[in-house]
Amino acid sequence: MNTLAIRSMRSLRDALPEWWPVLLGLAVLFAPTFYDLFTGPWVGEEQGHGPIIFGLALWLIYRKWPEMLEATTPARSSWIGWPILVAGLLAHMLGRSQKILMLEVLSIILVMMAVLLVKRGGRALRVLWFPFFFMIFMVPLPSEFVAAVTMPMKMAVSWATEHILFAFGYPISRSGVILQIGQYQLLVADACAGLQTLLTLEALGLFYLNLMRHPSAFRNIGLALFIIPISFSANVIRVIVLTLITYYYGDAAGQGFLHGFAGMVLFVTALVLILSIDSALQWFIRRREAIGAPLRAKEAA
Amino acid sequence: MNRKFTASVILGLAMAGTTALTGALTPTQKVADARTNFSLEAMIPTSFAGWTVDTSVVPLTPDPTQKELIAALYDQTLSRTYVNAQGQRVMLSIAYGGDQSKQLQLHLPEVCYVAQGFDMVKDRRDELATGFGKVPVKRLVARQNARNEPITYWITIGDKAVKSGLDQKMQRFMYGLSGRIPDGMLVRVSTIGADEAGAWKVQDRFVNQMLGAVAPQARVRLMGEAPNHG
Repeated sequence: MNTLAIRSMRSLRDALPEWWPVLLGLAVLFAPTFYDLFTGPWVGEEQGHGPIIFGLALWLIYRKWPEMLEATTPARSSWIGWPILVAGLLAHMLGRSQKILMLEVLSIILVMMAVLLVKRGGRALRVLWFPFFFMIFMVPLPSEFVAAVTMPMKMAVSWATEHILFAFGYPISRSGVILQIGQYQLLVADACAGLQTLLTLEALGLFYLNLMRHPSAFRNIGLALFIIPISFSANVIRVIVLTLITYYYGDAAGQGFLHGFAGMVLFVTALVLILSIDSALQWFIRRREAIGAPLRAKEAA
Repeated sequence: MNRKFTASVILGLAMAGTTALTGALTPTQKVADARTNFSLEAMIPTSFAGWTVDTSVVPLTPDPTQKELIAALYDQTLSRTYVNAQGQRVMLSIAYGGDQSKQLQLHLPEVCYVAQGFDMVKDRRDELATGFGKVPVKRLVARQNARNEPITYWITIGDKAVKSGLDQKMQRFMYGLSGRIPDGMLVRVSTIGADEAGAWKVQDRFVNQMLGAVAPQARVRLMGEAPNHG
């Protein structure tokens, strides 16, 4: 580990004479952006996953950097980098001056891509495609879109909660996104069914897949798609847990520290579901490989 | 090596240049500061054209968790219920924000009502003809249990009434490009009742009479400087 640190220090020193103008430029360009992000959206609830995703992406880039350098020696600059740089800088200019966070965050990805293309060429991006793709998840979506998607999700979560609890004999009724259980009324808020949880889970799921490096496309795509219903189920379970806490322990408990507890339940549930579905997919793949031809014949029939 | 370093320098300079340009482009002048101070409470008369304020009914206000957000969002809000001799009740709600940049944007009734458990049964665009020009409005019907509430609302950004959504963003954006931070207002009237066609008529008449009763300057604030005629 120590030698690795020394080696990366040395390679950094070797790279500095060539790279310092770029690093300085990046610092000047993005220091205000990151200052604003870390004192605003990134500490808030809605974009709270932003720093996690950015950190993970940087770590992934760092991990793959030597591999990228090896693949791109000798370095060949790619001209596509320049138009992407222009697009990224324009996005920054508009996004920052007009306070459009989406463009400002997008420009971080575009400018980093452009630097890589100009300095190391297209092959570098091919090695590092995943961290860049991963960073897309930290770009905030337009508020209209979020509102349009969140509402049906909230309705669906409320509907599922009502039906499940009703089946278990609880005195529950629903009007829109308001649940009435016993003498208590609960409003399913945006955060309880949010698109943001879905995206965060999707991002973490993809990160998990990337770390596992499983070669099977079937398993990768399958799991990526399964994260959508997983996120939905996890949200329903969270709302059910909250509803039951309120029903048995009263309003104060439901809104107090147990609210945070329910959030933990969501992520733990999602994690367990992801791991078990992943195991199921692996088992399915193994079985298919073992039986092979006969199974294929059955599918055809 | 030399060529590589040149590329680095160009990249670095382009980024630094962008930062400088961004600084120059960022609007700093608030439209609201250039306008004279005003008070919504004083601007809208408590009685006009047969309508008087009824203190027994309060229009839908945000729940406590939203109150904080609203306070951050708006500089002034007004919430009143008017009643006339026939017993018709119209709820009027006006929100004014001096800074429509940042994320401090107008909080739309579509979102606000639904978040509080209403179903949005109808949602369409319309134009409200007033004696002073047409205003682009939205007509909504919100329903919760037995409460059926037809709503008419419009918004202004800077000195223009705009359609909500993309139009509103564009107008904000155009202001921003000209170096100014626009203010914004949301005017909402609603009635409770099952008869929607009748409700729209009452609301249109109410809006017309209200615009007729306020001072010309207040009218411009409420419906914008340049309403589209014809």
